[in-house]
Amino acid sequence: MPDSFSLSASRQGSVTVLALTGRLDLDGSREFDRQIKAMLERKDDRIVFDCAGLTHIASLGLRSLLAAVNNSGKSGGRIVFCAAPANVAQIFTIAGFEKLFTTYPDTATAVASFD
Amino acid sequence: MSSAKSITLVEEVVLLALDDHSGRLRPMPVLAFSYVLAGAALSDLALAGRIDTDPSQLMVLNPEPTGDPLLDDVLKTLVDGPTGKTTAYWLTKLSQDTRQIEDTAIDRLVERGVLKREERKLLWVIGRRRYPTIDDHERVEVLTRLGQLILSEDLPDPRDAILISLLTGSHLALRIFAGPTYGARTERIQTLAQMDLVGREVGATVNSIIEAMNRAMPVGM
Repeated sequence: MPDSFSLSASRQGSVTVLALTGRLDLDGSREFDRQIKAMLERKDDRIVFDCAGLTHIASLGLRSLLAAVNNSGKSGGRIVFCAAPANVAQIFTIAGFEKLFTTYPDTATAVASFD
Repeated sequence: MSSAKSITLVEEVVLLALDDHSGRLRPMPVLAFSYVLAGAALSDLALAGRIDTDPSQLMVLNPEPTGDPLLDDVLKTLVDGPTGKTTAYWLTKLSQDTRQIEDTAIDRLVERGVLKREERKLLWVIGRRRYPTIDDHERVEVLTRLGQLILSEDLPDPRDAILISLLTGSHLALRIFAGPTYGARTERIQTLAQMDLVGREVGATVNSIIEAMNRAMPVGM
C-alpha cells in the first residue's frame, strides 16, 4: 500500500531527523510508538519530526505524537515539528497543537533550533 | 499500575459527575450528561484501538470485541451502523440511550467500593437514588492529576487530554475546577480541551443545544 506509514531516521549533528511518511493510522501509530520508545530509551531524544510526507493523521496519530513529545520532555529531551503539509497543519491547528508543539517551516530551521 | 489506570473513562466521568457530598449528579446543561457518557464510551474504544476519528468521520479500525460488555455494546452499534458518519452523528445516536452505560458504570463503581447506593423516599413515596462516595481515593487521584495539569504548562498525557476535553465539553469542568485559581486558567483549560476531537464534538453539541434553548426561551419570559 503506497500510503502505508514509514519512518526513516537521519542524523544532523546531535539531532535526529525523523521523516514521517504516509498515513499515521493504527498500524502506523504502533510502529511510530515502538520506534520512539526505543529512541527515548537510548537517550536519542533531540528529535525533529519532518512531517512533509505525512498524508493523513487522525486522533490516534495525534495521541501518538502527543505522547512522544510528552515522554521526551519528561526525560529532558526535546521534539520539534517541521514541514507539515496543509491538511496535517490544519489538523494540528484544530487540535490546538500549534500552541503546545514547537513547529518550524523546514528541516534546516528545525535542526538549527537545537543550537 | 495504579487502580486509577484501570478505571475506564466512562467510569471516571460518572465518578466526577457525581457531587461527592450529595451523591447526586452535578448540575449540567440539558442532555450534557448523555453526550459526555457517549463521548467517554467512544473515547474508551479509541484508546482500545477499535476506532479512530478525524473531523470528517469516525472509523471502526477493529470490530473485535474488547471484552468489556459496556464498550462492546457501543462497538456493535458502530459496526452495525452506516459507515462514513461523523463523530457528531454517533454522539447524537448514542446519547439517545445512555441509561445502560450510566447504570453499568455506577454498578462497577459500587462493586469497586468507590460508591454506595442509597435509596431515599421523598414523602415516603417517590424514590430518589443517590451515590455517596465511600472511597474517595479514585476521585482525589484524578482531580489532583488534572488540577496539576491545568495549573502547570506541562503537556498532558493523551488520556488526560481526552478527560479534560470531555469534562469541558459537558460543562462539568466549570463545576469541578471552580474558584479563582482555576478561573485564571480558563485559557489553559480551553487549550487542553481543544486537543481531543470527541470532547470537542461533545462541547459543540452541548453548546448548540444551549443556544437553541436560549433562542426558544428568550430572557424575560
